[in-house]
Formats: sequence, C-alpha cells, structure tokens
Amino acid sequence: MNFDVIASIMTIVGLSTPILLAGLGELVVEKSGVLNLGVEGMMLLGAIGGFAGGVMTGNPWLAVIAAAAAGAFGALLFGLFTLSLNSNQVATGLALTIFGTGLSSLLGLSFTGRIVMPFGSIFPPVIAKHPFFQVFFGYSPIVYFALIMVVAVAWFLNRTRGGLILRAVGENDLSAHSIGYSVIGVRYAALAFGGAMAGIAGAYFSLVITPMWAERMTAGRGWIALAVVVFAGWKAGRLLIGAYLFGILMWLELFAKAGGFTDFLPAAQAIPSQFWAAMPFLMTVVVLAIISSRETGGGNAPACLGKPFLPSN
Amino acid sequence: MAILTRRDFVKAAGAAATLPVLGSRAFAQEKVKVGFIFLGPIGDYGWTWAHNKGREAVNTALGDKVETIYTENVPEDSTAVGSIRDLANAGCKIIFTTSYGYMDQTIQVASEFPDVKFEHCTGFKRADNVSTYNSKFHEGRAVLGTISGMMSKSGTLGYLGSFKVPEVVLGVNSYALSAQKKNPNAKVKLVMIDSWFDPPKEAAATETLVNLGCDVVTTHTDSPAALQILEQKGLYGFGQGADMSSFAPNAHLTAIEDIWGPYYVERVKALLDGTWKSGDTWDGFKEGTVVISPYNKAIPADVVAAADEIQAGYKAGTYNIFTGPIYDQDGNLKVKDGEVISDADLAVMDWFVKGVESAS
Amino acid sequence: MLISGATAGLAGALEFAGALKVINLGFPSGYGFTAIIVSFLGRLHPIGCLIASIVLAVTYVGGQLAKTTVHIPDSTAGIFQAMMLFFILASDILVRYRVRLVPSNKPAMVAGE
Repeated sequence: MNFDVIASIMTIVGLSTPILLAGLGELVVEKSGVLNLGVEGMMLLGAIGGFAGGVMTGNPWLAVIAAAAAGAFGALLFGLFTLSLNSNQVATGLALTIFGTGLSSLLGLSFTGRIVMPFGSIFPPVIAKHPFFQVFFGYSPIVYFALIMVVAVAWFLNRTRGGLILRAVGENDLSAHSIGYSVIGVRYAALAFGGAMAGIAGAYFSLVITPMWAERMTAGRGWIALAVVVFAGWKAGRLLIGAYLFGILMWLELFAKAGGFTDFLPAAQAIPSQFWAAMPFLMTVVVLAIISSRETGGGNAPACLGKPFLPSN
Repeated sequence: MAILTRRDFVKAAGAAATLPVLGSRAFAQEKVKVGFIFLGPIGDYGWTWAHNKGREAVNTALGDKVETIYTENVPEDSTAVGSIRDLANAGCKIIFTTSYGYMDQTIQVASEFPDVKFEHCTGFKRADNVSTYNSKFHEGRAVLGTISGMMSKSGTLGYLGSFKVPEVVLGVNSYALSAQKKNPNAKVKLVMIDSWFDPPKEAAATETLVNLGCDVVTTHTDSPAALQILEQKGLYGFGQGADMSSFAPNAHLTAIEDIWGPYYVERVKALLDGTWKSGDTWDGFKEGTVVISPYNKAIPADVVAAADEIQAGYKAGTYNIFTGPIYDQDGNLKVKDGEVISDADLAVMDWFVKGVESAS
Repeated sequence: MLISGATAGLAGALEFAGALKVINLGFPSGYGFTAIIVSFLGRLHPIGCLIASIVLAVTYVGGQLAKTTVHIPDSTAGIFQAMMLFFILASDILVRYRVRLVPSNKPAMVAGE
C-alpha cells in the first residue's frame, strides 16, 4: 500500500471529530426527549462564533468558549419555542437550521478573508510532528476533548443520578413530573449542552481544518451527526464507532476520487466515488430498519422523543 | 475592526425598502450600468477577488460614465438565471458572468434581453449579444509545473481540480507536461471535488493527495484551504487567481494571477462607443491576462531561471507547452513530434496526458 | 408515502425542465428543507401549502435581490423565513390556550374576632 497510513488515520480523525462532538450533544438532547433537528444551524453559529472569537481575542481557547456559547444560544432559542411555547419540535428544528445558516452568513460578512492561527496540537513539536507518534499526539485539543466527552457522557447517563433523571424525563416525562423533577428544566439544560457541543463541532471547521470563514462551511455534517445518533441506537459508545465509521466512509470517497485504489485494489476503483458519499446515509437507514424490527429494542429511541410536554396540571 | 452587525441589520431592512425602487426604470439614467455575476465571495482572495479587481479597474477608468453593480455567491444552477435577470432588470447594459457554470443561464437570459450585452467567462456558447472570453491559465500552469517538477522530492504532484471541463483539463495537462520536461518520471494525481469553492472539502482532498505521496499540490479551486493544509504539513503549493502568500507564507511558492481589468475596460468602452461585437477572446501571458506572482525566497536560483524562461518564451510567442510528441493516459500518440495543438482543439480538450492519474 | 415521493421527484424534474432546459453541473439543494417549512406554514392543508409556498418564494426572491442591491448573503432570507416559522409555530399555543392572570392564593381575610 503506497499511501501514508499515519497521515490517513489523522485525516479520518479530523473528519470524524465534528460528527462525534455534534452527535454526543444531540444524543444527550434526544435522551431527554427533545428532537432538535437544528444541528447544522448550531454548528454554523459555532463556526462563526468561534472564528469571530479567535479573530478578536487571538486566543483559541476563548474562541472555543465563544463557539460553545453561540451554539448554546441557538439551542436555547429552540428551547424557548419548543419547551416554553410548545411548538412542533421538527419544524422548529428545521427553522433553527435555516436561521443559523442565515445568521452565520450575515455575521460572517465582516470576517471573509481573515485568518486565524490554526488551533493545532498543544504537545511539543518533537512528538506532535514525529512521523509515528503524531498519530497519537498530533491533534488539536478539540479532538481529545471529544474522546473524553464520549466517556463523560456515557458515565453521566448510566452511572449518575443526574443521568438517571435525564433518561427518566426522556422515557416517561409525566411520571418524572409527578415525582417532582422539573422536566422543562432538565430539557433546557440538555439543550444547552447539545448546543454547546454542536458549537464546538462547528468551530472545529473554522479553527482547525481551514482556519478561515466561508458560508455554509460545515457542508452538511450536522445532518450526518443526526444520522449517526440514530445509527448508534442512542448509546455513547456506539456513537464513537459510528462517527469514526462515517469518517472512514468520507475519507474513502476522496481516496477513491484520487485514484488511491488503482495501485492495490483495482476492482474497488471501479466503484464510483458517489457510492461512498451515499454510504453513511444508506447505512443509517439499514441500521434503523434492523433496530426497529427487533421487537424488544434495547437502545431504542427514548419514548418521549419529539413529543411536547403537556402536564395535566 | 468592529463587526458591523447593526449596520448589516439596517441594510437588511433597507433591502426590503429598495425592492420597489429596483423594479422601476422611470428614473433618468445618466450613467451606464455594468453588471457582474460572481461565483464566490469577493473575499476569497482568489478567482472572484481577481474579477472584482477588474471591476474596480472599470470604476477607476470610466467612473464618470459608468456605474458597476455586482452579485456575489451566485450558485451555478438555475438560481443564476434569476440573478442575471435581476441585473438586466436593474438596467445593466452589459453583464459579465464570471464562471463556466453560468453558460446556459447566460444564453437564456440573453435571449430575453436582446438589447443587453453579455460576456461569459471561460465558456464556448455565443450569440449575437453574447461574447465569450477566457484566459490562457494553462500557460501559467506550465510555469508552475516547471517549478514543481524541479522541486518535488517524491516526483508525485497533486492537482486539486473541480469539474472535468476544458479549462481544468488544460491546466492538468499543462502542469503534467511541464513537470515531466524537468522530471520525466513525474506523476500527477488528480482529484475532482465537484465544486469551485468548498473549503472543508478542498482541505480534505488536499490531505488525501498528500497521504498518497504528493509533496507539491496545485489547486484549480478558489479558496486558500489547500495552501493552509500544505503550510501545516510543511509542503509546497501555489496560489490560484491571486497572490495567496498571506495565507501560507512558507508553502506558497508563487501564484497565477488573473488580470481582467484591461479587458473589462476595453469591452465597456466598446459598449459606450457602440462598437461592441460578439466574439471570443483568449489571451495569455503575451497580452498580460496571466501574471506570475513574486517567487517565494525558498525557490532555488536555477528553478527561478527555468520558470522565467518559460514566461519569456510565452511572452515572445516562441513557446507552447502543447507541442508534440504528446501521449495520452493509455500511451497513444495524440500529437506528433513538432506539431502544436491548435487553440480550437485546446478549447474542447477532454483527454489527459500520460502521467496523470485520476479516477475519471 | 408514494405520492409524496412522486411529487418531490416531479418538483425536481420541473426545476430542470422548466427553469433551465439543460441538465448542468449544479442543482439547487436545500429546497427540500424549505418544503417542510411550507407544509407547516400551510398548517398541513393543501390550499395552505399553496399560499405558504408563494410567500416563501417571495422571501427567496427578495433575498436574491438583496444580494445584488445591499450585498448581504441570500441565506439571510433564511433568517426571515425562520423567524416567520418560529412565530407561527409559537402562536399555536396562543391559539390553543387562553392566557389567564391567576391571582396568587392569599388566605382569606376574615374580619372580626
């Protein structure tokens, strides 16, 4: 194989990280029973928020915080309409996507043509650029943050009381309400977290991959994040696998386009690259069908997903 | 340096108010309106930025007689019809559509507005009121290929393309042929990303090319994303459409700069004089539409000399990269020894030369 | 489901056959998502969808014009479209429920001993 395996792994990690981040955020939100389809909008808000933060402060850490705040803003706006005003979650989420895309483009006008320093690895260049060790240490802090969050989210949902409450709110909101938990409060908190994660995912585009701003620069990755949450059956560990699987598929699309197969697997070269581009979505449909056909479920959608909370009192 | 958020929102409100004003042509027009349809943002510091410089040249030269208006970020699909029509309805007497993908849309709107002149960049369909113009970017690619062939250590060069249209095919072939003149074993790996401007995809494609062994990558797409990746990896690349060295001071060896100003001024003058005629213009180094940016200090003197030699040859009219013998990807001899491919054949070229590795 | 898929396909075909007459490299994407907004704005009623689609088309064209005259991105039209949808969806709650000011429960003031 005459392609650089180490560098390819690093490219795949770079492609998977935004999906993983946005997916984790959306996982928590959906576990609490809310379906927020506005991930793409929140990611774009995070991308411009992070970029603006980076240009104005010159500090990448503050930029990431700004991105998280921008994403959370979008999510809380969504929460205002769906939780406090009980509007339809699907439609409001789509409206958030369009709103986020438009607002980010408008705010981005002042930032076209500007650049920031890429938010690269904080390890010393000796290891970060080492031909072999860079595969472990050469990444932006956002990558490590994403991996840590997988563990943190899994632990929170399954091992803490807070996670139990959140899951209860998502499975049976009326019971949770009658026990005395604030369903709306828990869902707002989940939305804020989801928005912050989506915002950081968006900032990964404008601060790490291509340190500049361009309209719609997240290129539909928000939708892939939504698909990967379903693909993962709402489990954090499977989400990690799903995000990286989709990252590999995206890498395969470009690899095929560059004729990478020609040297060692000519038969594979005959497959059009558009096939690889379609694969993530095809796989999600297949997995969804398999999960739904199993009656007992196990990792199925939270029972209250997408339903408005209407307590009788 | 502050973000003009409030002004932008006022602008948005103003947009609603200007809608009815736009439709009416009742006001006496003293200045002739010249319209521009741009593919990307002016701030791309590449293709569209160069066209905008051309527009500014028109303002400078003829600002007392004409007024220029432009629309950025016009996608190359059916929505472009609406944008071109908007400019025509706003009273433009000549409209420049600056990308290949506006070809059919320009022809369609031109048929609706027979009194308005249209100029389509890099296309090949003409009409009585539609002209085409192009620049011989491939002459610039020959310079880039020469530099790449001499400076690449792996002998594998990368080419980030957009669509398989003649302009891109010419660029790839010119790049490959000129690199092979300096390194007969040079290969060019080509990736077509189906877009002229998509920074994340350009970045991922550049990484893929680098992973496949390319150490010099040139792009035919419009953003500096590829250069940013190359800078991070310590490799070399070139600017596209404009000098992009501010984005990648170490990676940016040089760039092909597009100079559209003189052509635009000439055509607008022809319109004002009444001498405008439909035709095709295809200029290059000689006429000054292709310019090579200052060289990066990292380029060795002998490479600079070779690059300058190519430029001089083109300017004098004595050099043409598409001189035979030229073989295609399957090894067939397409151009005999000493023969030169005619401009007419170049304009519709759809095959790649030997040494170009691509999926399509 | 079949009918909705068929209609969507028809919309795509008309886009090529009508507006442009030639299949070319680009295709406007994103119309599909706006269609969902149209259905909700139209309150899931066919006539409503017709009116809503006209309204949304107006905002799109206005956005395109704004791109030329004021140089703001046409995705900014999305801000208007989204706000329209936000407020219409939120107004549902005012349609379905009545806002009542409930006085807080004070213990009754009993006069006398």
